[in-house]
Amino acid sequence: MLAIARQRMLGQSFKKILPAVSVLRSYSSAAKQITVREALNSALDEEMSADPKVFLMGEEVGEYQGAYKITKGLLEKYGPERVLDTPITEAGFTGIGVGAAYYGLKPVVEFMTFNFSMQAIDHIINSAAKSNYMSAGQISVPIVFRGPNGAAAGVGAQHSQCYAAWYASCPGLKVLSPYNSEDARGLLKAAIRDPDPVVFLENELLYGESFPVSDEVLDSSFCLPIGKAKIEREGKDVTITAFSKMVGYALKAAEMLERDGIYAEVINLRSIRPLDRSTINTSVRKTNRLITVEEGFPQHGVGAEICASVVEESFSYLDAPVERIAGADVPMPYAANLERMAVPQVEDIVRAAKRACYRSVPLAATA
Amino acid sequence: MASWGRRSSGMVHHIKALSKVELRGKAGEMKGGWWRYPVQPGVASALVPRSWPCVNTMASLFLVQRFKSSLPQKQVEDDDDDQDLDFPGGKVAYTSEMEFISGSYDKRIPCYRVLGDDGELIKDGSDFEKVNKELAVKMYSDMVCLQIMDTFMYEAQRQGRISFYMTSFGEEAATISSAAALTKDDIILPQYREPGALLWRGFTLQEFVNQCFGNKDDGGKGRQMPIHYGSRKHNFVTVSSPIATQLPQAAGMAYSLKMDKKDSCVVAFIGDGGTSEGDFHAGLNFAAVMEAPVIFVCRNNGWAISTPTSDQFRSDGVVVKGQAYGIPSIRVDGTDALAVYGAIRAARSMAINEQRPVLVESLAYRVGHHSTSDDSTKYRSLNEIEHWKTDRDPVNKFRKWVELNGWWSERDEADLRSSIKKQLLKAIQVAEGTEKPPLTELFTDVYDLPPSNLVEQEKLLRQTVNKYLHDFPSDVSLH
Repeated sequence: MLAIARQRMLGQSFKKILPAVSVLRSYSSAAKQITVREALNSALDEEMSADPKVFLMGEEVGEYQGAYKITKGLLEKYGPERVLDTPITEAGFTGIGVGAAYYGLKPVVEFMTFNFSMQAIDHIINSAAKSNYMSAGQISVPIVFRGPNGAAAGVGAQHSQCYAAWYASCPGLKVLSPYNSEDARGLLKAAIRDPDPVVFLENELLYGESFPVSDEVLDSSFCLPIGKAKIEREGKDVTITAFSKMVGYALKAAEMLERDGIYAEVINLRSIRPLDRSTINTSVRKTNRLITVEEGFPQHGVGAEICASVVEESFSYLDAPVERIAGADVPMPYAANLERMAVPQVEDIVRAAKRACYRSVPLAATA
Repeated sequence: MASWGRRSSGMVHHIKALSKVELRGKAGEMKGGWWRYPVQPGVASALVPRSWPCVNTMASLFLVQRFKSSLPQKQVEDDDDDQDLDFPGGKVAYTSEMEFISGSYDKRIPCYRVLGDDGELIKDGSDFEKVNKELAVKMYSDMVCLQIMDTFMYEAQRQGRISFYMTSFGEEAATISSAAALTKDDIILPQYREPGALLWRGFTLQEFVNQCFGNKDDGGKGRQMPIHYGSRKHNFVTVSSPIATQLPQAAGMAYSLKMDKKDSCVVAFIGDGGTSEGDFHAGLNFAAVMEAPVIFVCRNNGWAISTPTSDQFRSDGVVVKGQAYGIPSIRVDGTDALAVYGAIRAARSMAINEQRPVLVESLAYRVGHHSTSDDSTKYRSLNEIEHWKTDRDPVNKFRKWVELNGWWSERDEADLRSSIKKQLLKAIQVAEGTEKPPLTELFTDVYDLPPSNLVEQEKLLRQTVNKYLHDFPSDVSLH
């Protein structure tokens, strides 16, 4: 299992990062461009520097500099007591992290991919998420679980599942998913500072992508609020919600739609639990149409929850049925052509938006 | 994952080991010594330079022969067994005797005890951890208290007054003596059959009963099912139902204690069944690697619900598993209060002074059923249960010893028992009559601060309850 992941990440540096084009946003005071990887690394560095209780653990986070190099340089800087290379036991090191958090330390536990977190999910849910409630507030668990989530490229079914919906359904957890470098920095810092257990879902393909960041973002005190979505692009005809890599796709789709006279409002969820229902509903009340986009499996997905929320709160504002764009309801195939058809593409989002706006377009995806 | 890259200290050790090996023969450039390469049976093994990667091809075989002849004669005739294998993890001697380590020793690991079944010291003037009158009387009183509490609370469940209960019959000494050997700063992570330890630390009968009834005075705010006690004040981590999860957590806590350089340790309890969980392996392995000061106490009571230990593992119990992780271990008679006390004292000292984990296997038969949901007569004989209940009762055994020392009398016994019964009946009566936790507590502590959706839900719920008051139970306070 891990051999495949290692082959993948060793090959990664030699591969060009495919499909999502990096979106250059023009922020008013944009000066620097940093990759998501640099954003995460600097966030970890600054939080470890500010609070001696913060420490990292995971497979390959130390000597190897991190399976995806997110923790590069941190072992040298902070030493082996604060950057722990763990044996191969997700259940083991997650349990240990939770134990350390019970005591009062602030571990940041890395899963090589969230697919492997399933081997530790009892500790995440039963030992971390529920502890504060079950102990009547006596045991708080200020832990962060982070790592790549969702599909990468050509890694097959056991390395490609998206866990946003699974973790977000559990009370007691907070679930965040950044898109760009600003999100990565701000949300990771917020997660580390938060006294509740946080699941932080990154994306392997976004690690190498650069995004412009303002000086404010680069400041060590920068932090984003948990539970607030961001309107990445304003529009008036249809609302598109997305998180992580799909935000890039949604923005691209919005550009294509604009040429056809449809102005889409793109919402970057940032926080899956708590979900920013207020921002989503306000947007839908403005545009009257909603498309939800996610990479994960469609049944019981994030889009299902957003749709239910909008139906509950803004039913009379809807002019068209809510449509969910999600991954195919199959374990992720490996062959490149099949994999492409198993995840949403920009064209799927464009077609769905057009359907919502009553422009007749066929439902089926093209190859 | 390759272990050589893991810790810088390990790497240093490895390099040091390599540099100590002498260079031999003509191959002056070869660093790192020689491997013994076994050719075919009958052919003398040849010396091959370590740095050669593909020693098992025919080409290198040919080369091997060439090297063989150019080596000084004495090396070819050297006794195999003087050489060492330099391998990641340390040097290991070779042997030309093929021998499998047996799955078990000839003799099982013996069980440490101090008191005989009659309550007398096995060895006169024996070297055991001494216990003074005050300590002994407290230990004994708490053991009696636990037995009586268990009896009454089990009955309460049978009468439908609480939903569930688990007794500690047969294991009173195992838990109470363990707690007596610790300080209040040592953190206990229980499995679920250790209320004795909490009782020792000062949790009152009323507090125990409140938790079982889940009323508003329960420190756990009625969140947990019965016997899932927890108390930060007493350094007793809340009982968690999934088995063995507390073991890696204990390693993590101990690691944190170590980083804080505290003069205390962590004590994690587990049953015989729990040693089959993956977390047992992870917890012990990790604690050893991290050099964490944690005592793993395995209460081997012979049964995991209806699964006897013969179906749980094929090793010599749990004590032998410690060595597999590099952890010092001991097997102790769990029905012997003094033996348990002594073993845990020693374990604690080892854990803290040497900053390492220790494993203690305590053997004490589970006299009661697994829980109120179990009827153990279905899978074990009444005779067996009766034997352990009467002839091997730890409380009686300890009483005999305390009485022999002149520290306890019949009068004390009668007074103690009647006092506890009175307290307990009162506690149950009070607990039953106390209101359940208020509505607010349904929504608090999910997160550090209540999120907006829960604030809203609570408001909605109150509106509904106020509108249809008669549809809701009267013993739930709306405050």
